[in-house]
Amino acid sequence: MTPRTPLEARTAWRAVSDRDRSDGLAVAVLASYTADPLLPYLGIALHDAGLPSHHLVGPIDQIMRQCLDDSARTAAFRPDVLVVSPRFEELADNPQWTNDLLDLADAAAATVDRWAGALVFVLPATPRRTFGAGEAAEAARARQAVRERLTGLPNVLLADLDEPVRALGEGAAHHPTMFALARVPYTEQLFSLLGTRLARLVLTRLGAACRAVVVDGAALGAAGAAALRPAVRGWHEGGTRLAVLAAGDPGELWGRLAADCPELVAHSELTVHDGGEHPAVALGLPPASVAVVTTDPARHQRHGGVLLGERPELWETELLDTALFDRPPPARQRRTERAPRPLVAVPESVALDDFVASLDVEVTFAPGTDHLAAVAETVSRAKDFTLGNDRTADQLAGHGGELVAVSVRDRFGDHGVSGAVAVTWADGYGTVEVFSLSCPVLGRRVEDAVLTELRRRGAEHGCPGLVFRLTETRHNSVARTFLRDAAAQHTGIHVLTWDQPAPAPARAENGPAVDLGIVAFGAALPEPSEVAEHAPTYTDELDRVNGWGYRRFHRAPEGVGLTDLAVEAGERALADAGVDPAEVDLVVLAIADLAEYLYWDPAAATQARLGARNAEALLVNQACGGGVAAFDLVAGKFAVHPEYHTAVVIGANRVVDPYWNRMAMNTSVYSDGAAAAVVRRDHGTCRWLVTEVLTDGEYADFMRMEVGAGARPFLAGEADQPVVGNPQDRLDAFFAGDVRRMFAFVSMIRERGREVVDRACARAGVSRSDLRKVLHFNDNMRQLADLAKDLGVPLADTNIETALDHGHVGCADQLLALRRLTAAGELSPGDLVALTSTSSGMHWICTLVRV
Amino acid sequence: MSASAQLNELVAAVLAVPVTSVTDEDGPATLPEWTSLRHLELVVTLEEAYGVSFAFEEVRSVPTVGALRAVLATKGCAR
Repeated sequence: MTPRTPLEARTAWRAVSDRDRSDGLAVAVLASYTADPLLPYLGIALHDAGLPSHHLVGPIDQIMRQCLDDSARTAAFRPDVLVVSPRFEELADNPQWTNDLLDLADAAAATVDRWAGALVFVLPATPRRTFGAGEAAEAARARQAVRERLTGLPNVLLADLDEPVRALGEGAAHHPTMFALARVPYTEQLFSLLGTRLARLVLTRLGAACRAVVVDGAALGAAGAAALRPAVRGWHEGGTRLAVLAAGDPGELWGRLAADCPELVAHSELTVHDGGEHPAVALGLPPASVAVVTTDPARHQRHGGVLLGERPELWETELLDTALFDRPPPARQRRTERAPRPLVAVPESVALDDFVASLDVEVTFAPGTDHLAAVAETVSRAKDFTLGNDRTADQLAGHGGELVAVSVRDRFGDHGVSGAVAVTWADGYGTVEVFSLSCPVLGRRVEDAVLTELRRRGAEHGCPGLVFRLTETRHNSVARTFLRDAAAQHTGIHVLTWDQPAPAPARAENGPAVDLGIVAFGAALPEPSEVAEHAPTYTDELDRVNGWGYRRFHRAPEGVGLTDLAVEAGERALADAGVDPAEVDLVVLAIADLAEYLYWDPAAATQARLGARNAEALLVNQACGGGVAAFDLVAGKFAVHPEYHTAVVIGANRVVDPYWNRMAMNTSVYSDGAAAAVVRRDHGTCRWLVTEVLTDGEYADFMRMEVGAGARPFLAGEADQPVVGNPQDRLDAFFAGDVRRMFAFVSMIRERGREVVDRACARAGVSRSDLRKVLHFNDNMRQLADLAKDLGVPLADTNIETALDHGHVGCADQLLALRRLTAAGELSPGDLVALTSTSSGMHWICTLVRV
Repeated sequence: MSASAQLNELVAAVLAVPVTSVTDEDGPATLPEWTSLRHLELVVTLEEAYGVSFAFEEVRSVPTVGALRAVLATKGCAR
């Protein structure tokens, strides 16, 4: 056959690609550039060789991500053959080429192993741009390293892009205009050569097999037809298509065959009249995959295939010597039966999260009007990640809302303005009509960063909801999938077409009575001590203490009192917030233990020492729940004092060791310390939504020390040092040894813990499933596991790490945990967090904040 | 075949639409088959058919077949 020109190849491919689309070999191409022009040449070459195929080109420059992500488009396509073609130009700058290319090669090889396919790795061509000697050498080193790494691996084939580039010459191989236009770096001639070479490689691995047998019925006598019966049965059972070639009256032919070879009558798809054209045409298959079995030398001359000898009794043997019983690659069957093996099966491969983290992606935002041309260019060119709403530069400039330019840098370089968002804030929602990202920055979690930024800005605008107005296009499934996943994960995100009605105006949940949020945190924690090391000095029940899981606790030095810790935490929070103490309107101190003195107000003392001379001071003594309940009190004070704008909430704890054995008096290891939060009216982050408190005074006597207060004052000279009893003794005494009542008490504690959270959620108009984190008091590991189970949240989404690292710091626990998560960036704008406590009294308390 | 008819034929062939549905006023906005990928194919097909090379600015955004024809005319290809 005369080689096709590129235009002829594309035209021929268009004619066959529809027919081959859902059958045959599944070929996926992952490249760092736009590789779509490769398909016609690869596809038609495979087709001509008798191997029909259909194709997927993965997202541009996402080779690693597509390889690692078994939920990505390429994995879903289940390719039989994966073609991977990186270019040096898209890799990070020298000298990392060797490592980067080896990483890609390793990931691709591991991927085809997982997917049970074959890999064709295309060694990148030596870059065209002018490089120094060192860089050229690095390119050669990288190519050689990959060649050595992949050579000999099962199911891995190597192609070399340098060969067609050299064959054509640099000038004829590269297409700068197309690269500028659509990141197509090469000419059609280059793609044509590459496609043909790749097809040849694939054929060496998978070969072409007979897909149909056309039996020349006209040339068969009765004995011949009968002799073919076993072969016909074999072809049919093997899935080979069958047809009969007829020269005369087909009715007469079928009559003869019905008597002599009924299998052929039963299994043939059609009768092909021998009109000179190859019978493959009638079957819609390439000639190379169709064998004409005949005894007529003239027909054999015309159509090829198998020429049977004169003795029918030998035909079975003759046919066995042909390739007609070889099966084609079981591509379709494998695709439906096999499932990708989990990623963990390939420990040597880079994990997706690690890969993305290694990119050092930096996303920045700027007013879109400052970069209007670049924004308009990005919007017009984005095809995969776009809402599908075309907007011209003029329309973007005249957009009434906020236009945002998204710029991206990573270790591969500065991508510049690579995305754009147009959003209008109203009625509690940000309505987004443009959210476009250019293909080269996809797969780097830029879309997540943009969504987080939108939610943060929404919180600032008092718009907790986001509405994405979408027009479905043939190409924007990436954006649609991302947004629908986001809507499933976060409340308040709606993905709507333009004809769907807008959601009801969103007030932040049910709307708190007073708008206030946390501006900054502060903490004061004495030097930590190891629980394991110090436990023997507190208790003999070491197994019990060890079972709680605490790693460290904090013990204040002699002479450091509760208000010392409270003042230190408060000062740090005020400094971090940049608030002058004189601006503070309210100081709330929550304590669970005793302060330094009796007949003394530690809240007032703290106010004075903070220098908050204009503030009202409020002491909260609601045991360990005081730090959580304090928000309700701040809201109440703010409601009735419109002039109040700033409050400092402090939870502090200082164990009075003579009365309270910090490792034996309860089921926690108690710590000394304090945490503070500066709270401001109308502040948009960590917004207080609601506080719910359940109190059951029936249990007020459960946690008390008998001596020392008004009922039985200490008397000087008493022989026995008064202490709080241990929990078992207190249970026995309180429930008079009634085990069933004790059990009911413990069950009730857990049940009410869940109830208070549900009540808070109901008041706020959210559900428990919306909670991103539940930050309880720093209870022991087992109790927190029970709490997580009761609330249906993962243990990791509680304060477990804070608890085990710090011990139970009285009413400072929840603020410490919230401070830790905020500082670590583990919370995103819009996340819903529950601060909960169960405390003596008894109280069950839940405060909800929206980050 | 006239150069004018040839352009229409090429556009129709690349977009896989009847040649009768291609007029000078048609473009990506009126022909849904004129996708970005087809646009690329159209560019290389025209380069091959007319033996010309396009600059980025000439082909980055072509609103209609008529505009394409005008670009070709500037390169000495008969309209």
